[in-house]
Amino acid sequence: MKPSFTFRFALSGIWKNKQIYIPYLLTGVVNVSLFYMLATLISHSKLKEIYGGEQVATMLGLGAWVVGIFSVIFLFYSNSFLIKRRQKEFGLYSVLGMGKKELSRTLFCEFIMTTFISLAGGFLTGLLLNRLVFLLLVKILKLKAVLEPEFSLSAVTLTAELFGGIFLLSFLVQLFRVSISRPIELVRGSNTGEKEPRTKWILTILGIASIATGYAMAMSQENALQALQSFFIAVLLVIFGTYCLFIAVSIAILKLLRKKKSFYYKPGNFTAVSGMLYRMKQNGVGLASISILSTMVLLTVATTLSLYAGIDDVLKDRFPVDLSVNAYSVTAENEDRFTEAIRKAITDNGNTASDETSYTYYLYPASMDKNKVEIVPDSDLFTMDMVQFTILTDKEYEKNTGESLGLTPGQAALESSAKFGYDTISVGKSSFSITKIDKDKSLLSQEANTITMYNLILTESDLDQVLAEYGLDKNDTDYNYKANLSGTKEQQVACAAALNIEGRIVVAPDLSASAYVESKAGMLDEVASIYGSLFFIGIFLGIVFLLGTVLIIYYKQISEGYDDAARFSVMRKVGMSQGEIRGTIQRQIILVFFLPLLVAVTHILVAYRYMTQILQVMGFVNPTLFMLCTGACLLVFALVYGAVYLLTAKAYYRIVK
Amino acid sequence: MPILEVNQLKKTYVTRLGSVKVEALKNVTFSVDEGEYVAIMGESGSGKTTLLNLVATLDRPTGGEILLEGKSVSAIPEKKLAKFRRDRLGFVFQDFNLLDTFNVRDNIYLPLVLSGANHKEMESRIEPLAEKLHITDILKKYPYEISGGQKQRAAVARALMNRPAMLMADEPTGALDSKASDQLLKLFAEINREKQTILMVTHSARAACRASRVLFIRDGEVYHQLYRGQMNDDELYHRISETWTVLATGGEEK
Repeated sequence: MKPSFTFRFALSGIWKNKQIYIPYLLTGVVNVSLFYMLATLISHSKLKEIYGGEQVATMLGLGAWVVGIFSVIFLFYSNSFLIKRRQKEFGLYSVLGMGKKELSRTLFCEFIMTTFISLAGGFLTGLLLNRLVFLLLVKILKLKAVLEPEFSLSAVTLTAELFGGIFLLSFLVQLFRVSISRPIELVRGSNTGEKEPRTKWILTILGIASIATGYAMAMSQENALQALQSFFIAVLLVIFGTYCLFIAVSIAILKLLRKKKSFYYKPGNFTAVSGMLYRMKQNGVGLASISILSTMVLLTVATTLSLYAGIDDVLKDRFPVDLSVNAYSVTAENEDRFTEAIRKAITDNGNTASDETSYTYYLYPASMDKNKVEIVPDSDLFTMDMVQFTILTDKEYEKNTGESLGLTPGQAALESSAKFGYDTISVGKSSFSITKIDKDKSLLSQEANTITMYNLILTESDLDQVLAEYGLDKNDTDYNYKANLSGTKEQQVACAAALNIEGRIVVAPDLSASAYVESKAGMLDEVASIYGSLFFIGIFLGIVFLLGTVLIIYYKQISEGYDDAARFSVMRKVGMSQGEIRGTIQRQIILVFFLPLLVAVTHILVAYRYMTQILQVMGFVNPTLFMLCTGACLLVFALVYGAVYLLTAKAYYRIVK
Repeated sequence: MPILEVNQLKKTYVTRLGSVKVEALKNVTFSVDEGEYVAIMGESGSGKTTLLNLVATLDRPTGGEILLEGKSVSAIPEKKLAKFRRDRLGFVFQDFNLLDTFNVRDNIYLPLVLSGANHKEMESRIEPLAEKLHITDILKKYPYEISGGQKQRAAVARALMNRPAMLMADEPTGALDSKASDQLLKLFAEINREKQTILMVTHSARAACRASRVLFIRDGEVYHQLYRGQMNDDELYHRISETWTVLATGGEEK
């Protein structure tokens, strides 16, 4: 075969299969451009210089790989579909006397063309959209500096290598499939009788059980730390269960329906039930993948969007004041020296402090049973069943709030992050009657919400008694300083930096303590860069997942269209009207199409509680905002999904007709 | 009274771009009486399948008319055609057209289910029919599990479930071996003896010689017809063969 003929032949091969090839190439182009844009961002020379840029680059890199992995999956899926559909065509060529060598050459030519179109299209799109993406990143990360898009050769080579590799592998798979096949089999292709699916009872039961367990886990989580630990198990259970649901449970249900004669032998149900039975066998895995992908898209975008939109809430909750310093294992009598050192750092950097509080307190891990607290002084780690137990004296409290509690020995004041429904509390052998403290009069901040916190305020004599019982050193206290600052963002950040010398606060050469210094202004950038890049990646992954979903749906519809065309022509001959056929088709498509969406939405509704708790760990405590974001994402997704439905249904009708 | 009357039937196909017209049927006139077994013979491209499709209301004629049980088929609105088809007609095809997604029983039920019949009624009808067609044992099997002859008998059962006014068969033996063909043709003769009207399209003399009348179609026209009269199958077979030879060698007589 002459090279020019091979080329023309390959071109016509692509053109004749454009119904399958166009989505394939489109997937290639979009994934190449997304990956390329991410790669360009990561390799940008200025990115690492901006504040938090290192983190942003790491996260974008992670995102890029996820995009890459899913590109592999989706392109391979399209490729296998392509091979299956073209088997007959290849077989015909063989029968007509085209040797495997020529066929391979044609395939190679097609591979070169698809690779070229995908890469060129992807790079072009990437270059065109790069400016937009840079603007988006700057806007989302709330950067002051403007990142100018720059051309990165390394990004181009990386993208070309990755996708060239994917296409090369796809080509090799095609070659392998053609080489092991015999012409007659190729011509016959998919026309072998399809066995009726069998009910897989074990999978059915396992599937129901694992979804039920996953759902129960999601709905019964009481605290965030627990949720975080069990989340992945629940996700795996639900993913497994979803596959079982579509592969086995659906068939079991349909078979039960078929057994019910008065239901089954009705005009609409008859064709629908039997048709669905086979569809589920062929498409169970595909439909399950669609619904899991949809769930992933929705959760990824909804959570990242909520985190991003809720940055201010997060900061307000996490940082009630501009500057917060915690120093650990400070001797009580040194309290004033620490306060002085902090005040000096504040004024040195051009700030003045207001709303100052400072106090010493005792912080211990403790176990809690109803209203009985047992301090576990030796434990450095908090485990899930432990609470964070803080004690301070009424003097410290009154000094800072100006509120008089009027406590007498045997009385205590309590604030807690969990509900506490008792009138007394016992710590070790001592027992106290309690008065509760209003939230707005609270001295101790509700910092991290991952663990349940109890803050107990005692008289000094009671404190001594408790400490003595556990043999704790009264001089070994922790120290807290909080204040609002008047300076600019830079001055505030500088002040925090001056106080934090490699994790320690240094008052004098002979006095220092390990410390944790937090500046709200400094955190704003950090949190914005973390959540911003999460959201940014969320958008990218959302596009990739959505595209994958659309691709799978489209291919499903087309392959089913070819199978169904034969069936419907028989039904028409046997006496089904065009209208009835259209009705049946519509019902089937809608069922097949919207079942995954329905399952995805159910998953999300059940996961809602879970997600709010996990977001809580990340400092996000605004369920309403999360609900809004999820709702918005669902709406957008449903709209896109609906549009894809209309498009593919059209393609399907064309084939069936 | 004729159950089917075909008067000056014409069908012209126009190619998609409208430039070339193909006359599949020029002028076909014949009738089928109740209880008759009529075979229509013709070579490939003679228009016999077009004729069957028109009678089956799967296609609309360009000219002429078709009267089934005295009623003009073209007067039936499109919406009611499907119902008419499944209530009054039964079909047997060359390639069986059984659905792989249904077992044999459900395939046979299909037309009645579409008509909204009660499943108890269907059960009572299928039993004697299955008995007669020797398919009782395979009712639970799927089309891909049974032989061609069994498939075609199942298809016949499906066609007879609605007790049609006329059973129409398009090359019913075309995909069967000679033994299965013989069995099927015997069955057709048997059914016909029970007063079932049959209209069969074929190009096999072996199949046509069982009929009570044979129509020959060439180039879209009825070219000749043979009545069985007192002839037995073999005699009719010889007459058919002779006519067929004349037809094939291009005799111009009419």
